[in-house]
Amino acid sequence: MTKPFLVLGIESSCDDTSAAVLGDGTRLLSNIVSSQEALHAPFGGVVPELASRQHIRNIGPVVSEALQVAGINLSDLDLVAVTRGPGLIGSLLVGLNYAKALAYALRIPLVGVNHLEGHFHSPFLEYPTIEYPLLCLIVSGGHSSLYHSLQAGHYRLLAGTRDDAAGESFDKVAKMLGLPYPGGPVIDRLAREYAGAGIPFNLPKISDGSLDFSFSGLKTAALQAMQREGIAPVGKTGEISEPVRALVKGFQAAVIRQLLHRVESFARQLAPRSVIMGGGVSCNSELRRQSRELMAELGIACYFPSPPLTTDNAAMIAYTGYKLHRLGRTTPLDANADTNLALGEEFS
Amino acid sequence: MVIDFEPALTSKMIVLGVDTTTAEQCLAVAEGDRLLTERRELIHTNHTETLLANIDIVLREAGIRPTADLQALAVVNGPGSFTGIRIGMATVRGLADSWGIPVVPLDALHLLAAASALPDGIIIPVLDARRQHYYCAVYHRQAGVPQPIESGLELTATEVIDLLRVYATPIVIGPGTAFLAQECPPPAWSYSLRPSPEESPAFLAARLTAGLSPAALRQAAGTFDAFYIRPPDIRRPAVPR
Repeated sequence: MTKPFLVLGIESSCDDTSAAVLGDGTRLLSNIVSSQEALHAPFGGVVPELASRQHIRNIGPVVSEALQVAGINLSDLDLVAVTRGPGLIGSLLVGLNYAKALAYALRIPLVGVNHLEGHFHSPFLEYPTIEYPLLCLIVSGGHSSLYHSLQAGHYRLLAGTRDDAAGESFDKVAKMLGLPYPGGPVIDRLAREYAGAGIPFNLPKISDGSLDFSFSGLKTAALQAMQREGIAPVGKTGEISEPVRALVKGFQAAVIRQLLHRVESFARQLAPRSVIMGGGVSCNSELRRQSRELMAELGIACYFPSPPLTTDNAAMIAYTGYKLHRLGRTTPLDANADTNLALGEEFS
Repeated sequence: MVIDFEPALTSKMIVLGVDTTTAEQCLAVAEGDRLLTERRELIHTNHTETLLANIDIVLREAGIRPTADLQALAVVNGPGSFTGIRIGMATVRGLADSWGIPVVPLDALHLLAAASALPDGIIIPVLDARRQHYYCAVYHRQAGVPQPIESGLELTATEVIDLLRVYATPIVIGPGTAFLAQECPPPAWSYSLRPSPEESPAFLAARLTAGLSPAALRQAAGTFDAFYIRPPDIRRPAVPR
């Protein structure tokens, strides 16, 4: 049996340190994510300097664990793929410099990967036969973007957010209501468990007719609803009142309505073969349910990554790096991080 | 961290030292206490773009094959530029893991106190921490080996002067001492101001590491973390995930 082509993926763009080993571009041999969630929870968001400091401690052990789980040594690697941007500069630099050092010392090629291109590819790890042209919705704490892709490697941004990212609005509303950080999973669960109707939210309109996203208005609407209906945040007992449940259900419904409104508009206009989603918010069970329903109605295939691949992970970076390497792409060892890297730009 | 600098029994180790904690990128290869080659370069953006190319140059100039000749890496782990510290540490971690050799983190204050031209006695290294503050430590140097009395201090100029008064005839050294000549010239009381050592932090780190016994090397390599002194600024607005 010939030795598989082994790619090590490294991702450290925000608060999670992750390393993954991918064999022959198809077999995920390991995907280790060291979460910093507990470290940042008291602040209701990621504190950049804390994240960077934790990455320095994590990077060696996380890579070592990824290799161990995959049953290989560093010397077996054929390629290193690493997130080069977008993200937090201090965080990106840890993964990037570690990866560059590996590429130099092991004399193997390096491929710098766009984090968003990683999320774009995350459904392909489990569904390699997804058909183009497609629409891809990337929704997380830092991103809310809808892309049109005619073929592999082509990306056109159809809609972005004018203010908050979708996941950011979940975190902010959770914080207002005294719910734990991150807000997405807890709001998803509370909304699912609540049998009653949610408090209605109006869909924000962008007056120039653009189909860009806007979530900061929903956050304000949630605050106004709290004041209007006299809803108290969750107290020290941790008991979650019925009005809080009704509020988060209504808020979540409004976020999903806005996301799927854009997806449906462009899907009707562009008639893609597939719609794919990625990013932490794509884990939301109600978003998944409604998306599948809508796409079934439109006759378009719909794919989601399994939950561990929705949040930041190195598996998607390894996969994307492998694809780019097959296209002849490598990144020189003098490459710097790029915090504002956009999808579709030439970046290697 | 206290490192036991007992003499090495084996032949002289070859060590690459890396310092990216300031705007001067500094790399040195030492064989025992001898400097084989060194490179000091002011950086323009950050260290990321040039570090590996310069490491490649010093190793070639020293005629060192990393996998065959290099026995350890040494890195200055702070205090200094937070970004610089992390670029250096992430890079040496990757190199050390790839080459299967240990990497020893050493802090810049300790290295100043270990400079070869200093006599024994109380040594107080001072680095400019910006924002009108100074990173400081106090060592009792005996037989050339600095033992920490106080470490990890971040002080104002006044507090540094107060610290100097605590000790009898301390030796003050480091690039952060410039303010002393103006605000508190030596005649005010007895302290001795030394210029920064000619040896670079990278060479000092490599030389100290090359002098470690195998057991001390293992112990020192097991404590891989940065030495920022200044705590993270958690008041800055948190960003979403």
